[in-house]
Amino acid sequence: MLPVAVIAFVGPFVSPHDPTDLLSSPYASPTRAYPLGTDTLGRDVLSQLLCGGLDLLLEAMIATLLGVGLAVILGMLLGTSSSRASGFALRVNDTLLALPQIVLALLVLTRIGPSVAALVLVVAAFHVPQTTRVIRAATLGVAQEDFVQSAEVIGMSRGRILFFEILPNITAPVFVELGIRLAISTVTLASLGYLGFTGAQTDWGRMVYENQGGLTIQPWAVLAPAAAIAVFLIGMNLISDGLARASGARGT
Amino acid sequence: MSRPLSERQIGHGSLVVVDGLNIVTTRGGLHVIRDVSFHMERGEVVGLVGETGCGKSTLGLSLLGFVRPGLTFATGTVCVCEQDMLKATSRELRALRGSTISYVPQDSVTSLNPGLRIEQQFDEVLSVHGVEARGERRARIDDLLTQVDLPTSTEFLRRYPHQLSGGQQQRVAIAMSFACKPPVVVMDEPTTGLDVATQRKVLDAIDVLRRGSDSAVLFVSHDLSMLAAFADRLAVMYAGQIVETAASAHLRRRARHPYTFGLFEAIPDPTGRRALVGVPGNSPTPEQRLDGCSFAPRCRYALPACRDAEPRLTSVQHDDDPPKSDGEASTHLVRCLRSKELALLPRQTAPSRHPSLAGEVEASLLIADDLVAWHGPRRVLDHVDVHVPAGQCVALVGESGSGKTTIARCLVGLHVHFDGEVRLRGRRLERKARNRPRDTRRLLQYVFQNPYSSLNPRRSIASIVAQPLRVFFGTREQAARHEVVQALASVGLGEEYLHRYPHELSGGERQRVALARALIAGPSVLICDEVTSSLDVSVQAVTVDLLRRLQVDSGVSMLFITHDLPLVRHIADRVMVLHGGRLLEEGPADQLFASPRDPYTKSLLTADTDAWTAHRTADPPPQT
Amino acid sequence: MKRPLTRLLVTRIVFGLGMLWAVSILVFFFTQALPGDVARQILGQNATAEQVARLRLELGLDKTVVEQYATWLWSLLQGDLGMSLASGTSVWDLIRGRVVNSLVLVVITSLITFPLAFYLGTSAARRRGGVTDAIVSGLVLVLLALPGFLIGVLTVVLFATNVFRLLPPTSVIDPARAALLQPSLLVLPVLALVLGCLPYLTQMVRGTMVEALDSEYVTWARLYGVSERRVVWWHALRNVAAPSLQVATSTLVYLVGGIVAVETVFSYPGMGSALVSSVSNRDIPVVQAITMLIAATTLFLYVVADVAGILLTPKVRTSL
Repeated sequence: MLPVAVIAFVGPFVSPHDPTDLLSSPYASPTRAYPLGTDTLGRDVLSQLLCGGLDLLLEAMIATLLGVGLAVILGMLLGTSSSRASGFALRVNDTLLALPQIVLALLVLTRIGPSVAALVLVVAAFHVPQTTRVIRAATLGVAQEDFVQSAEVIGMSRGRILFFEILPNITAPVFVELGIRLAISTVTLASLGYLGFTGAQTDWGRMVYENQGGLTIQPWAVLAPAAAIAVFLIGMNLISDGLARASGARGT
Repeated sequence: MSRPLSERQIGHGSLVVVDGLNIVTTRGGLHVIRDVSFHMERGEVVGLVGETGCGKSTLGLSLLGFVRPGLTFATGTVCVCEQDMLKATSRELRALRGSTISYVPQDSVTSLNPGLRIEQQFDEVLSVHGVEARGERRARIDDLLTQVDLPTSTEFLRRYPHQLSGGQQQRVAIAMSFACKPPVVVMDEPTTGLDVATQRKVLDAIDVLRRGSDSAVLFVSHDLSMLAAFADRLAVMYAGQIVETAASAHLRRRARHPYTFGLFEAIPDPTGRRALVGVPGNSPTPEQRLDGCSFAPRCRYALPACRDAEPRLTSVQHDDDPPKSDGEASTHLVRCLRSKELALLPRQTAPSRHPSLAGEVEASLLIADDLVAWHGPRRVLDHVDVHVPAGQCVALVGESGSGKTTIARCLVGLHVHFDGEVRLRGRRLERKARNRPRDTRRLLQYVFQNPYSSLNPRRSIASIVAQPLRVFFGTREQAARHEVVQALASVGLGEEYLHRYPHELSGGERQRVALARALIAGPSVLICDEVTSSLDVSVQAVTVDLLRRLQVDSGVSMLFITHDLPLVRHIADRVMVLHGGRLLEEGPADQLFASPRDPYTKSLLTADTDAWTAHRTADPPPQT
Repeated sequence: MKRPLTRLLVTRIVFGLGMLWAVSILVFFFTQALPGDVARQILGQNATAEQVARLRLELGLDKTVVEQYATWLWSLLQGDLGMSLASGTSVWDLIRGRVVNSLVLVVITSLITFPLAFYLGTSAARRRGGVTDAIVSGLVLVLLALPGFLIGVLTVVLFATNVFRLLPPTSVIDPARAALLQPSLLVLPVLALVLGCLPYLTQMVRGTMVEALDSEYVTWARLYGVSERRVVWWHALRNVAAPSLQVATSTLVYLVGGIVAVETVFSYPGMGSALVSSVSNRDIPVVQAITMLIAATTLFLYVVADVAGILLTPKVRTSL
């Protein structure tokens, strides 16, 4: 996973060619000048690979941080407020889940068109309902603990209780959620890229789509970005799985 | 099958023969059960007693040839009805379990399948062990349910476990374990967590069933006073070993192991004739066990030699024992170097209590007038008055569901759905803690029941204890160090605890930290809600003693809430008995214990006095 | 028993309809009510003023937003999905065949995925730490990470173009014949969808099964002589059923979303690819129709799962 992140973040600075330049004939096999060959329009695959990950990963990270951050605040507030208020908020939350994430994203993009800000916001918004549920459940568990009640009895302010008593005890689920949500953000953004809705010039998902037709002639143009996405996501998954296991082991 | 040792010591042909059993953890090979040998005869009730983590449940399960995941049998044999349980194939084990030897789980609430009806659960045990005919099964089920005093209607049989009360579920589980009339039944804490009355019902049910099928029962429990009355023979476990075993009546009078004796002394005595004495320190975990006697670090009689070599389980001969033929006396075994020289006698002196103060109720520091509280639509408190006079300890006694914790929560401002008035030093208090003035919150401190939940696991002890100082006086953690050290010292904890975290502490130590946190605020009233109920009995005694000393020394008023009426004898000046949300009886402790008026109070008192005094009055302990 | 059940059904259905209504507002807001000239955005800069004016009239953009929404909702309730802007035909005619095609994919995939996931999850849970468990868990971990389109492309690489050439790389269904009659075209999309849905469900089944097998009631059943097979099928299964059903529902919902990408990979003429192309074309009535259809389906599934979950859990059922 780390090498993929390095490729994504450093790639644009070491890219040998402009990824949008039409350099050679379409679907040229790898040569010394173009180590991974060229794509459907004759652009250098290696340069595209090096430049196509930055936007994807950055957007995924921003969307995740936004979504999980909002959900943590919301979940902690709901977990410590009256059951009626939190019940209502959860119902509102659930409405968003009626549409699969990618459908929701497509719906929003219909009018707005390919817009990075809209994309990030949609992906972030989609995380909120489910992560809020997870954080709320974790908060409820901690809020029932006597040490929180004890802080209440001596009259500690609600903000301090949330921040100093509860938050340190829910870091494990927060980190697990961050891991899971980053993976989901990446999946959604890569899929939208594949479908052509990110508006990016070069994008790993889009590369797979564009070069799919030339699979038999020049498989590298598809396999290289596919591998980059796969390795990153599998790595992400392994990390969040490890985190979940570690926190589960500590919890018992 | 058995080696010479077992033939000599525990006789061939016993119903259950455990010989040289060792059970270790799969990782690290730590001994959870160390060199345990014992036997059981037909129809005998053996009580296996010990505190948390001593391995008594593990030993009980090993009789069924079963260990929990993470443990494994190392050496030794377990024979039940001439069958080697450790060498049996899984098919053989399946046939034996439930029919030859059965098991009553610790917690019937989680042990009955939530998705199966009562009849389906019973049916399964019977059909698995070959009772094919439906009518025969139904007749057997009716018979069992009748014996444990449960209805036999089809409506009852069609219920799911959650539609039964805790006591009913426990009786169902017990009846199921006797379904195939097994010669041996292992019971793991079958009465723990039940009210006194329910507990008695369950014990009655066990007695009826075991007589009916002439089963031997291995009764695993931490409750020595109950076991001493119920079991024929007791085996006391400590740190994975049996340290002493003898006939119950015998052990009660002639305990030879300092630990056994300590356990007896830690049982609260409602007559007040005997001091409540605890055993200092904590039981060692498997990692902490050392060479030598594992009890030595906590033993007030320990000699240097005790730490060198592990004492062996040896037979005790008493001078005044009738010669040989009796057989009972020769089964008194003890694992102590000094068993022959130590004369362990109960201290007859009453605890250092000042006589309970009568009257002065009008001048009470903390008053709750006419409390009526609700949980949702349910009324849980019914016009209850509480008075805590200055400098006194008032005990609030009631079983689970009596509303005693609700009272505490109303007083400290955690439960707000109530009518009535709470006054501290004559000043009326707001319902919600947050709305009360800072000084009121400081003067009224609350110690929670569960020390595993009342300390924030992410904070150091120093930070936990300093917390009230920060809230009430704005003192920073660094500046509070001196006061924190003093508060910890007052509860008997040294400076080395400052930088530890709650998970490094035992239950008793945690409860001391919680107490220090309450005391550092300088309260005038301290509310202790079941603060000893999650502690082992030996630690409970130490903690109650500490509380009493702190209360007397500092002059703080205390509301001590508990389900254990005899325990109150050792700490309270006044006693209030609560039942079903109503106050049944109230008065000075001496008076209430001497002549309880309400039948319910009487029933609470007799339950435990029976166990301790019945044999004592018949056979007074020898005087030195 | 009868009356509480009716009440439960009524409340859940009413709740589902309420949610659907909320979704309709969401859909309408994003497609039509956003500020800006919708007609101009749809037709692009090259359109004449006359064209724009006509479209505005067609969409009813001259009215207030509330009026527009009311008209839209009213015709939706009458089953009138409107006319496609791109093709000029009725939206229903346009998507009818595609709905059936997608349904074929979803149904076949579910029929394969659910039993398989249940089998794999249970086997892994029964022999925890064993070889089966290691293989299943490993595969789950890898597949769970991959987006649907990537799995689709990889199946193409593996079975259609580069490694083996067994199956066609695209699945352009002949609209004249039913999709079911063209099985060779269905294999790869179904495979991709199964591989996409399987891991999550398998993992959840394994998790709940492990929890049930570790429970005190299973331990006790073992201790009164119940065989391992009976422990799984008689004791554990009934308590695993309800949570598994919830997960199966989320899997189905995921599947509905998953067809969007997978259909595009294989150029399969279903609802998903129709959604993608109508979003690209800004064919608003089609987008509205498809999203509402998907929302109705998911909400229906949620309601069914909710009720079934309650009926399968005695503790909840008896307290109705």
